[in-house]
Amino acid sequence: MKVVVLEKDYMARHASGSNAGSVHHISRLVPELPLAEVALTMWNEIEALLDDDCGFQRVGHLKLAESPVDLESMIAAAERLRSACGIVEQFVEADRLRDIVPELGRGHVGAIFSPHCGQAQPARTVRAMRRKAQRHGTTFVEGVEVREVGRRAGVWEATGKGETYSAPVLVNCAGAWGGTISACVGEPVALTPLALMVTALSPMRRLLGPVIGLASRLLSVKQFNNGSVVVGGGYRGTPLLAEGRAELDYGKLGYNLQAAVETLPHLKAGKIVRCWAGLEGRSPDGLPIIGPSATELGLWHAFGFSTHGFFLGPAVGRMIADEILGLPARLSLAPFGIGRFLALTVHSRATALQIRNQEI
Amino acid sequence: MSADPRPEHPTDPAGCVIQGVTMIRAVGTKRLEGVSYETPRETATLPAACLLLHPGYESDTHLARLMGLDHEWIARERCWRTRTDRSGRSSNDKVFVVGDCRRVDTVAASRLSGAIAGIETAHDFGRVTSSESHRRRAALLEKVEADRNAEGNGRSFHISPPHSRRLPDDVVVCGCEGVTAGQVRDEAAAGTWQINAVKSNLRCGMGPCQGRNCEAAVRELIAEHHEDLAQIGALHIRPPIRPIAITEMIALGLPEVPPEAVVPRTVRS
Repeated sequence: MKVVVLEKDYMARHASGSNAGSVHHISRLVPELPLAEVALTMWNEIEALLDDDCGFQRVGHLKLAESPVDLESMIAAAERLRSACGIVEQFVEADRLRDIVPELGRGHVGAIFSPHCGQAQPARTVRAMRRKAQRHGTTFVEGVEVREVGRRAGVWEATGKGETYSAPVLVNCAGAWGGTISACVGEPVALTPLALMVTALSPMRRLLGPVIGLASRLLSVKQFNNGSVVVGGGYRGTPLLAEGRAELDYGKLGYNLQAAVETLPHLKAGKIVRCWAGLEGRSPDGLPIIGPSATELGLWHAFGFSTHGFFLGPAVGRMIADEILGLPARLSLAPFGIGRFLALTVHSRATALQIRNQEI
Repeated sequence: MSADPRPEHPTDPAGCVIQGVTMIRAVGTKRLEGVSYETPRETATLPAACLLLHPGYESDTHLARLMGLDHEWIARERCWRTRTDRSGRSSNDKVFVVGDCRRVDTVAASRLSGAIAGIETAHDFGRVTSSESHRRRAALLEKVEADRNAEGNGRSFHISPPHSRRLPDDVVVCGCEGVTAGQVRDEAAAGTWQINAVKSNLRCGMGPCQGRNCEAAVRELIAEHHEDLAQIGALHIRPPIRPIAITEMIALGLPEVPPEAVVPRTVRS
């Protein structure tokens, strides 16, 4: 099977290269957990898959509860996760926290530790995927922004920059721009563009093991082998989708870093080397759009990953490929069908809220 | 170029000038012992205890680029320059760019560029009339031209690009991230010619200096495979343009958690 990838800028230009490299599941997104389990397994075998370890380090993920209410919520989420998938999570008592992270600030009442989670290097991962795909005959075309897609006589045509590319099968993985592509075939999805901010600190003494997160407010802190620290978690800058860039919101960024210093006081000595925000798309219900088109044959969607596309990426690729090849599905993609948004235009607003509340 | 009175030939290395140098190499094992150089006529090594290198001047456009001001490619100097009118007003009419960060210039011209922008600003605020502003700026612009043309002042000091093209592959061009000339050449040879794509792949320009030291060299190395220098582009600049303490950013922070950062609670069923 011959594959052509059409990239509007250059590989890893947007979300795939600018995310913070977190490799862990999001416990409260229950419909996604079976897919997350596949992704986690694939990340733990990424070197065999891509002939490059992609900088993946299985340092684990430690999610901290800052209050008894946090703890309750965290335990409830862990119970739901246990019924939904086989991802390993271990409860850590307050008095054991500093065994795992000696630099932890005071006041945390417990944590969930996910030993198979960790961190990886986004740009490096994209390059590794590209190299491997090229070895299998995939062609990568950069600098072509596909503006139109349509199906003619059973063949898909994608047009951009005066060129038309044709194939029997089309996969829409256009990230924050995925809704624009799906609109071409009458399946619009109102993605909310997001610009998630990330801060890189200059190398510090290597102190941190697992990726650190919090239960009730967004935070992610990780440290790489060269000592550099990356802080994020999902704080939003201002996306400028048409310009292909984002502006930072220093009020939120400052709060993000404050949360990091409260959790790990030694970061107070940190120096900021640079801050950035990539562009990605959030779907109306926070779950990705993965699976066949609801209106056309030979078209698959894989977009709207709502802040966690880097982690899910390998599994989603596998699922879509299996579907295209007609192989038996490992798990159902029904929760991610694009049809759920088309239905929303018909249902009342109250019903739409009901669907969304099931995820909370 | 004006004639230099010092002797060219290094019979007495102290105080001589060697011109037309195309390669400089520091020589030594545990410490600097000498300096090798190449000119079209010769290759030689001089004993040396100290080597001072100066790659030339280039306007620092980082702040202007971060502000999103328009820039133009100056082909004869092989560099990007913030686009301004003669008064220094940029593509953002509230922002003037003056002095060395606009163009490398004589000392007097740089100082006068500030005064010229000041007069235009006064006009913006209605403190001087149009004709007054025009008259005073014209007078200063004359002084600027006179100073530029004065004896010995005519040189431009931009980085001389051909040196990059002679760099051996193993020379480190990005000191922050340890990227060699060879690595950049390999990327360009493989078809990656946008400077930000090379940055994404090799990390050159991601260190604390954000390309201040390496951008020109990286661009010229890419140009060995992709001639259109303007197309190669300029590195995306990210804030802060100099490293700052984390506490400085925290001081700008919101006092309370922003709504999107609150994680929805899970209740026990």
